[in-house]
Amino acid sequence: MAEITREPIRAEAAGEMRILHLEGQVTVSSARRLLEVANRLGKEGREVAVRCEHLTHLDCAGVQVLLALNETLKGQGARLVLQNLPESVQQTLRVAGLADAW
Amino acid sequence: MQIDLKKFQETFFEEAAEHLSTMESGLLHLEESGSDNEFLNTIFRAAHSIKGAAGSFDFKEIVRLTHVMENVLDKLRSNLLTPTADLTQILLRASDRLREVVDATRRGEASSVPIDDILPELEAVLGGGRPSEAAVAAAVSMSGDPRGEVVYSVVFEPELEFFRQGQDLFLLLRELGELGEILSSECQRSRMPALEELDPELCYLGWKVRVRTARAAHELRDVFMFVEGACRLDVTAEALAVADAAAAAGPVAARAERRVAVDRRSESTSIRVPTEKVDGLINLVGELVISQAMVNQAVASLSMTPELEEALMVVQRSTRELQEQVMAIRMLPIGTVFNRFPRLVHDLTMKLGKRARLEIEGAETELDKSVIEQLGDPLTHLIRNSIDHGIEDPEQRALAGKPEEGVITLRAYHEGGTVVIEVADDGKGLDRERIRAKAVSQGLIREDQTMTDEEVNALIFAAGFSTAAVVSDVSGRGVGMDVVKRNVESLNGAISVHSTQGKGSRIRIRLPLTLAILDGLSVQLGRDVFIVPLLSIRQSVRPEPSDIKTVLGGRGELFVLRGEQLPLVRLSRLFGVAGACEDPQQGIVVVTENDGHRFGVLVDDVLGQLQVVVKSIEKNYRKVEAVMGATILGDGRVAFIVDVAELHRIATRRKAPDEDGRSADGGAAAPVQEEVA
Repeated sequence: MAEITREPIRAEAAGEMRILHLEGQVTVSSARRLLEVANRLGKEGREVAVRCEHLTHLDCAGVQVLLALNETLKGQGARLVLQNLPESVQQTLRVAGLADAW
Repeated sequence: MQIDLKKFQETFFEEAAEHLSTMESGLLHLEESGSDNEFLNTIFRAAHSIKGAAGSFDFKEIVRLTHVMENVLDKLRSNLLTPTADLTQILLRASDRLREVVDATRRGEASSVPIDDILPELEAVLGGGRPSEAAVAAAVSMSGDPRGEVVYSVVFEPELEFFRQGQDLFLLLRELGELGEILSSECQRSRMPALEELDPELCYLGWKVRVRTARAAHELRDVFMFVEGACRLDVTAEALAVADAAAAAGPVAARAERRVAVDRRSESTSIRVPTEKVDGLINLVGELVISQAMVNQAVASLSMTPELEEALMVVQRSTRELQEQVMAIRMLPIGTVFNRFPRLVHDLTMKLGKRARLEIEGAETELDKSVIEQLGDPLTHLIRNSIDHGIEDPEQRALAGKPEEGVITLRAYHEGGTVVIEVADDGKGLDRERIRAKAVSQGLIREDQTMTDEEVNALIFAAGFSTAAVVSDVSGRGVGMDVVKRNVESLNGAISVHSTQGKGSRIRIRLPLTLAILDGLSVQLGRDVFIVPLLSIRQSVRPEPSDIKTVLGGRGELFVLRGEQLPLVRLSRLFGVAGACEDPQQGIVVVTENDGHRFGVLVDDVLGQLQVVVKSIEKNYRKVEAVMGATILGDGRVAFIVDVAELHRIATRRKAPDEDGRSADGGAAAPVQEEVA
């Protein structure tokens, strides 16, 4: 699958897997865009690697979409993996009790 | 940029006074409400608001005191302390001291009020407390930490619309984590819909976080201070859960189960404006009313077109509505003054070993701010009197078949265009025999004088009526009922007393809604116009020659109204108005009533009823006898407004006759039958 978009939130195919790139700040202002991409990925039902090395901030609205996507994928025997999480985001997820939710 | 802090400080002091009243009334409910969090939250918020604002002005003493008070309140709120009578007393003392410190700070003398004696008392409470010791010990043992840390369970459930707050809730959780050690954090996802149904702008998650910390529970709650209205927040010390298990379903268990729910604060829909600004506005509207009346008068002589007539009517209506709206700004609920009395009743009953409760009705009744401000002292005196002289000792009450706890009722309601305030008690009532005997011994009445019960009751308001035999250090501190009466009359009000022996007394105060506008009757005197307050007028009569009597020795005149002799005042003589009619048959007697006593006021003519804007004479000139103010008429002339209470005093006081054989002040002597010629 070719690259869907060049947006800071974009998904691309890598063989059987799908890669979701999250860059910069993913917050309630960009959550609608993230949901749009997540809905597409959910329909495909493939493993999703979320690449976070350029992610600077992830808020609750963004996390909710990822959690919902993960649930959808799990229902199809797939899953979502967070990769290269910056320390600050890891810490936030720990405090929010979501570090092991993936 | 230089910021004038004074302005903000003034707001702080005003708000602090309100918060202190809130604290006080909450504290008075503390014992009866147990650890009801509704009251505790209210009291806590009041202390917290004072501390927060004082901190921004660097009012160190206020911050120090409120901080410790806050800690005590917080422990109460978290069920780590039990509200007892002693604890309530300590907190009341602390709030009194806080009020003194705030007042001293306002005067720029913050350090003049010491707090070093009250702080140890509060700190002792923090260190002790009956259930708290066990609870804290349990908390410490549970946390396995000997440093006095407690494990709190924090339940945080944002509303669906939470994101609209613009707050990143992960940051709030991180902030919470910085206050201690997060033992566990559980994200509740039960509200989460499936991906395709998810609205990315709604918040579906919630948290239960266990934090071990040496901080107080309120500090944990403070993290969520700015999102209080958009979430449910519970902060509970887990130690109590352990105590619960041990105490099975005991009272501690019941308390521990109670949640420390943060009230949702509705958004503020009011603004704070200095009184001078409102007064300025009222003044301007008053001028507008006068100008509008002048326009009406000026065009009355013109031939009016229907359009002009309609336009004038619209202006008149709008002006009246504007005036009503502006006056409404000054209206405050009378509860603002009533709120200070639960404390008074609490303190006095304790001091006198009596039992009484205060019931307040109609606290929402609105009255002009200036009237409300002047009501505090008279009402305080009346309530002191009720407790000291009205309510009996519990034993006496039991003997009389009454409940041991007396009831004092403070009631306010609208009646016509006035507000009525009643102070009633179910005590022993007035002892009319004793009052009468005392009045005779003081020469206020003759021994054989026949008087109705109401007249005897009214003697308690007589100037010079001493209650020496019944004075205590509670009531009778130099302020008599005559002063109460004068205070009420200075507000253009009237006071009366009704009493049934053995059943109780009821003092009734009738007040105008506002002092700024008055319904009056305009009367002619020579070429001048005077205004008589309409509330006091009973009727107007053109007298027959036989209706006017002269008191022997020329000490005054009487007007006979259907056989009743009323003192008569010639207004023209009192005010020295030239050109007024001398022959009573050519004039009109306006029968006026003050405090149940009627008297006649002789004027040239009655012009009509009108609503006037009251202007102060004292402020613009000086105090003029028997004049309560002035107003500007539609034609631009100034008219004096007659002070009926003072007029009545003049009408009934005896004075040596002047050379004309008339009373020097135009007044008449008291109507004593045998002296009438």
